[in-house]
Amino acid sequence: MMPKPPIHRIRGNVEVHYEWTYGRYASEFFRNLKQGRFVASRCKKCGKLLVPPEAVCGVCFADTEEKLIPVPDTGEVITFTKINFSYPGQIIPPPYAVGIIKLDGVNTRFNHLIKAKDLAKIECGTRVKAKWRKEDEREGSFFDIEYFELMEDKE
Amino acid sequence: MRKVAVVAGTQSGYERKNRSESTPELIYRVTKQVLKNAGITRDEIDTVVVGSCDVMDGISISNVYAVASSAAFLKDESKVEEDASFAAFYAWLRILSGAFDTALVVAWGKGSETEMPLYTGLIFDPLYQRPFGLEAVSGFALQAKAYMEKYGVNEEDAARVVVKNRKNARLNPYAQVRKECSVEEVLASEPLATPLKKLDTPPISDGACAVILAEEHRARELCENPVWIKGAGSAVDSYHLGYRDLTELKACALAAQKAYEMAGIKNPKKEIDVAEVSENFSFQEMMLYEALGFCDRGRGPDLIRKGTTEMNGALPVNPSGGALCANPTPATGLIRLAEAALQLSGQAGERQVKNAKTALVYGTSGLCFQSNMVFVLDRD
Amino acid sequence: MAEDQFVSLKGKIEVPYEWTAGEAPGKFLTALRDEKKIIGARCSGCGKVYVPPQESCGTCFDAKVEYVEVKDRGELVSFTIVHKPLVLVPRPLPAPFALALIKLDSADTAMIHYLGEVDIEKIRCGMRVQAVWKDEREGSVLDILYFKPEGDVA
Repeated sequence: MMPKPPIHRIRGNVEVHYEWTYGRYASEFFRNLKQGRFVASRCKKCGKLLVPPEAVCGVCFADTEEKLIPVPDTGEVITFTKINFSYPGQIIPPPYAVGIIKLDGVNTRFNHLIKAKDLAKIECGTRVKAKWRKEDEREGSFFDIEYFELMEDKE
Repeated sequence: MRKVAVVAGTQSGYERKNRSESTPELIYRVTKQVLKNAGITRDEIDTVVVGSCDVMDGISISNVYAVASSAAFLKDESKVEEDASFAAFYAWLRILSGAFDTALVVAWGKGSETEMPLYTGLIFDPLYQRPFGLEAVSGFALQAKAYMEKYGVNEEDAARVVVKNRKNARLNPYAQVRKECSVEEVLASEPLATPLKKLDTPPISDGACAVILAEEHRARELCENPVWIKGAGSAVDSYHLGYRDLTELKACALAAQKAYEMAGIKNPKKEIDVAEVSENFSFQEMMLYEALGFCDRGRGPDLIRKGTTEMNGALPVNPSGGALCANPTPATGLIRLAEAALQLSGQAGERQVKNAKTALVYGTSGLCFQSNMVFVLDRD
Repeated sequence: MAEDQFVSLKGKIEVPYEWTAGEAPGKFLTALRDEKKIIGARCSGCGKVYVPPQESCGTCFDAKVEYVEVKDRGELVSFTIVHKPLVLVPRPLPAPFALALIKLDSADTAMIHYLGEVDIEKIRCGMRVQAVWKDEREGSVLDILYFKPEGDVA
């Protein structure tokens, strides 16, 4: 029988489980997403809006208002990239675009998927709108918005 | 060498499950509070050092997530991924360098959000130790057994440590476990890994702690009773449990020696008025008495039997209740520092040790006191 | 009242690894698998024999190590009876089981392993134990099933 080669590499994996507390602001945010709308928190000092909402405005290090403010589900693409390759844990198969979206009137931005009839039409500054899932399909997650679509595609 | 003081501190209060605050909200609360306690704004903080643990938080580089909450936006900021007594050490060194005059140190841990044994299990290397499913309790149990064997220490002695710390915690509004217990209850509690039973072990905790350090001139401007860092020392031992004599705590003794030398302490038993130590487990507190020089080797149980380390004893240890009463890893060591500072500035309320002038602070990382951090604090 | 779903988010992190064993673990694990032998590292500076082996001695740092065979029997340094396993891994024995630090003959350090074929009430520090090897071995510390009391002592 062939002798086995000496051991040089060992495979293993590390698995840890979590249960992250939302806190009041994230709680409200996801509850509102389930209802089909975005809410923001407003800094008591500079008045700017934060989505996702946070308890603190990092720039001012000041409290944000307790009451969250509904904001439009339209905005613009700040930056984006087109994904052409596959990797484990991918949400949808390539090709697709993912970008940083700034909702109208809101100061902070977040990531989401961008869908377009022609991916080449996506540019920095392109106007987009959230495509919401049907009410009974929404769960209280970022993916209650299926993707952001180009406003021009809707017309 | 510059003189550096603790000028303010705060603690969040500790509980088994904080489901009302996200980690960033918890950090924000203590950071706001400590700045308020110091009477300064975040503009007057030159550097931020956080103490947190990526695996606990479930975020690689757990501090980058906390920038807004820890008042670190656009500031000089870094993290120490170890017990947060090391975060305080690092902040102290930054001020000593002369590059900074004030430092904010903030540490947090939410044990309820992960599975603590999975986390402590990962401290063990994948090849030689992790296959056995070792974690903190079984690791410290091997050490406790070796200690019992070497010096004839028994489980009653260890139970007395638990009784003492829980009694002390009743007077500490921040503590998590505030219910007194008897020696019998400790001995009858669920065996986990002999000789450690449930009540010999620390709780799983959520909480955060923050302190502000400042160099001398600023410290005197900011507070009436600055608590000076008089001495500091750290040392780390071998990694594999079997490579060390687990009863010797060599690196702990070395760290203490360095801190005592810097602080000019020749006889710790006489010169230390109060000690806050991260004992973690019951037996281990007695081992620390020995390694920190409060008594001879093997004589730790004498101190607990005679009541020397009780609140009204000659050298009270853990008036806060220690890690046995609240253990939001990795904030534990910073909490010891915050508590010692309260003692020396006369702000420890019902758990105040009278006329405390010199305090010993001990923090640790890794298994069985592999990594050790000792501070000696005093006041004018 | 229905439980609020927006209190916490459950999740897990699973990261695969492929660690380079390194010279000392490589030799140690290969010898377990192929030769049913336990390898230690002797420091050429101070003569200390490390089991399990590592490539450098903490005290001497610069000195080279040479790899030596150590006996698969030795003395119990410390142990714990685990009644409530907190980490679930494949184990040769059900709880309550004994985890031990064993100092093999001619080694200067102790290694972790299980104790088996023993009455847990009768385990004592200083007891002599010997390895029980698996027939099918893969190059892991678990190629030794556990250590049992040496000779007839039960």
